Amino acid sequence: MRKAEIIAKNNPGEKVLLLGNEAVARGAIEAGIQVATSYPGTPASEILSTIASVANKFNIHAEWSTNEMVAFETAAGAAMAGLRSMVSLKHVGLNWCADPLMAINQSGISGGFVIAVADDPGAYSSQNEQDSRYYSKMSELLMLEPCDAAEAKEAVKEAFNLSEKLELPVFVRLVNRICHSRADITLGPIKTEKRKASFKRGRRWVMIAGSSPERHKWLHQKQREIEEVVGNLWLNKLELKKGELGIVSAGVTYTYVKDALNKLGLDGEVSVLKIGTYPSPRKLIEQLLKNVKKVLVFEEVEPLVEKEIKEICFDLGVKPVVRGKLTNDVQREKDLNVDSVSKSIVEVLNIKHKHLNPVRDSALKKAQEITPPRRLLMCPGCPHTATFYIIRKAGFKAAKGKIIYSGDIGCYSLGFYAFEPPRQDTQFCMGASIGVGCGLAQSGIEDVVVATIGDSTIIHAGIPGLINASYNKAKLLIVVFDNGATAMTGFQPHPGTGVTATGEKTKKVNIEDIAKACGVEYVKVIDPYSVDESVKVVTEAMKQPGVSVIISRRLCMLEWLRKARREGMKKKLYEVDVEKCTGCKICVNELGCPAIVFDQRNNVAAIDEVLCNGCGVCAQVCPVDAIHKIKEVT
Amino acid sequence: MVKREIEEFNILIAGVGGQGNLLSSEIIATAAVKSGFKVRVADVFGAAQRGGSVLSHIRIGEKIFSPVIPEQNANVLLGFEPVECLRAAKFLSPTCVAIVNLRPIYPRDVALGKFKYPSIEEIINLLRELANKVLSKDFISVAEKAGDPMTLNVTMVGALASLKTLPIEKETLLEAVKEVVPPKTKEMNIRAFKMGYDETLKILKP
Ligand code: SF4
Ligand code: SF4
Repeated sequence: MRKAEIIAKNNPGEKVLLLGNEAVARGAIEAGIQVATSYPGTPASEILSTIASVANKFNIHAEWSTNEMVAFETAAGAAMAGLRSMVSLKHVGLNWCADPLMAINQSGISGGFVIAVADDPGAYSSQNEQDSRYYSKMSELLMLEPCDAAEAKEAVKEAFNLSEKLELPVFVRLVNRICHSRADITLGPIKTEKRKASFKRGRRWVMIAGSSPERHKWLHQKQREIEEVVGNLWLNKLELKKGELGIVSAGVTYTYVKDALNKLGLDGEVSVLKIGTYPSPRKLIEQLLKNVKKVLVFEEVEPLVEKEIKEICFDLGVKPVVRGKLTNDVQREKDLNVDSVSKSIVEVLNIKHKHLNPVRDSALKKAQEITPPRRLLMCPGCPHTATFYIIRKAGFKAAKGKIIYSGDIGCYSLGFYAFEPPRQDTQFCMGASIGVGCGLAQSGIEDVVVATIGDSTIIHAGIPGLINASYNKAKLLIVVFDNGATAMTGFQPHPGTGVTATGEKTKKVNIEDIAKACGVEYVKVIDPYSVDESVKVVTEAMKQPGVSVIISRRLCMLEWLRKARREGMKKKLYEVDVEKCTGCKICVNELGCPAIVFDQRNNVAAIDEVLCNGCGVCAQVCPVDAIHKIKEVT
Repeated sequence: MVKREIEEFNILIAGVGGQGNLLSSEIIATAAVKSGFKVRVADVFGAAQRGGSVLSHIRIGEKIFSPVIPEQNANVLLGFEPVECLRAAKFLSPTCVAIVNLRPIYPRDVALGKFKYPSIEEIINLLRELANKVLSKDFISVAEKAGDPMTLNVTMVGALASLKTLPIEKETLLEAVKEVVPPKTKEMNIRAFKMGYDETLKILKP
């Protein structure tokens, strides 16, 4: 709530600490946004939740849409009615929007339409590190690329202005290191006057066969305007110095370069071209090329600018040395940082490495050697842990333990890290558990194919696959891990929760009804905290001739704990009776709750009292009844 | 607000998801903004919100750009968990002061007997080689005395406040604590802050 108050402050000039995503949200609010849409995805999620937290106050429609494509189209529709709208999403979410993007780019837009996309270099919380600038290139739309959180707020405001000036959607490219960094941000005035929506009919909105070449031409004519904008925009800046080296740095890498040059004492010698747009500012690049002998290019993910600089060199007939990712002078994968950038600069300039103190070197090496890894885990008492146990157990009863877990995106993905052997055999993208599961099942493979998918994910991306499975008679078991939240990204509500982004009650979409409507005959709901009963149902489901759907429903443990704290409910604590425990390790290995450890010396299991959340599942899986509830605590 | 100038001061918080590191970094950074500094903070963590390693980089000063501290540049390490301090070792500057909570959270692989958790002595000795000064204590027990082990994060901010080299005033940090923590826990957290401060002073001047 405190954050909502800060975000809503109309006190221009005040400096406040904001998360990059909050700064983006604030930028949109200052710009007078009226419609904001998104689907949760790290690292972009807080943009919409921040706007939603003040939506009522500023009369903004803020929504979590069913998926990114719907979010994109909804925001675009609002902009066609002349309003300022923004869709915010993660890089792979933009893949869902490729279809509408590649038509709406030709129609253009009449209000201001901003697409805030958060890339994840290093893939800290994603399936890939994908460069969104390719979408800018493909759709021939302008993309702004701020270098930090403070610039991000201003870039969003600029994007709204440029979108209206150009009559085109404008992207803002963010990266994890901007979204999830905090900075002192100077508040600007909030535009409070609201526009009245009006839709002006016209051929441009109908991208029917026969429409495109003319609109495509219009888009090509717009490229000249974009080039002009890019040439004069404050986000691009050339700092010429006397040395032979020129550094080109796009987006966030500018901050790494500035720090690195400062640390290396090269501030006064190396020219720097800061790039904050895609397409890149050709005139400034040409100017840099005329002043230096060597160019070193830093950009996150793919070497787009680097290739273009080579093209420009060719056009100009100049031959400076261009170094970067393509020449292996800059680290190709993973996110860059000050240290990797320093290393590249030192190598390209052939400066001697300042050698570390050898005593320090060996201490660092030792530290690295003795540090045990810390794997990602499910939370203690997580209903997903129980569901995985139930599936595994049923697999032994129905198919001699031969199960293929066709995985999906969400907390249950951690089934890969949390268990040995992993309980996620494949993982690609939203909804692929069912699609890929259909294919595995249709292959005639002997194993039971189990698609594991969350409540939010099946609504986002699973329904066409579900219909496909039933229509094409795939022998597939779909287990919906329904914990009542989009937990992985921070507990956003979704259509299955009956609550909107702004906390209002709404129609609750029921997953059982969806499954039945898609033609699935075997649809059952289980409670993962009732182990034996659930195993029976899942075993039966595995024996069905066609597609079957199990909804394993239990509130996310973290949500339950929050609720318990609010409502003064007590949590139970469990303990292992060391006299009874035979050391069989079923609770440790097969269930795998992280609150249970194993005491090697005494060959017994033990429950960590601080970690146990009292779900009681371990007590049900122990074959000798060695685990008991000991007390209840608040 | 008086505008203060300082070139660069870097604080690193190393801990495990669920320990409340992000709240500490928000408190310290809020205090830095109140003090009129340029501030950049990066919270670096993996996919899960719980159980993984979490590093918070807090950078203050006119000469900083990136939110992530360059290697060997942390002036202070606030270690919420012993092995997490080792994991962050490459960031420590030779002049670094490390404040370390000695209570471990055993990684799953240690609990399962697949990896060994190094001895506390070994950890502290290594940190002594890499940093200028190591102030260590079971800060969880301090937090428990304040009322809840979950106040470890604010206890550690109190410990930080005791450092003379810190460019932020103790009062400003306390003000930020009051602003940032949930209202219901304010009293307890103020207690935790003060106890963390006092206990660290005792280590500094026994
Ligand atoms: S009751 Fe058992 S399974 Fe549940 S959280 Fe506690 S230790 Fe884990
Ligand atoms: S399942 Fe029961 S008997 Fe087996 S290790 Fe766990 S507590 Fe002991």
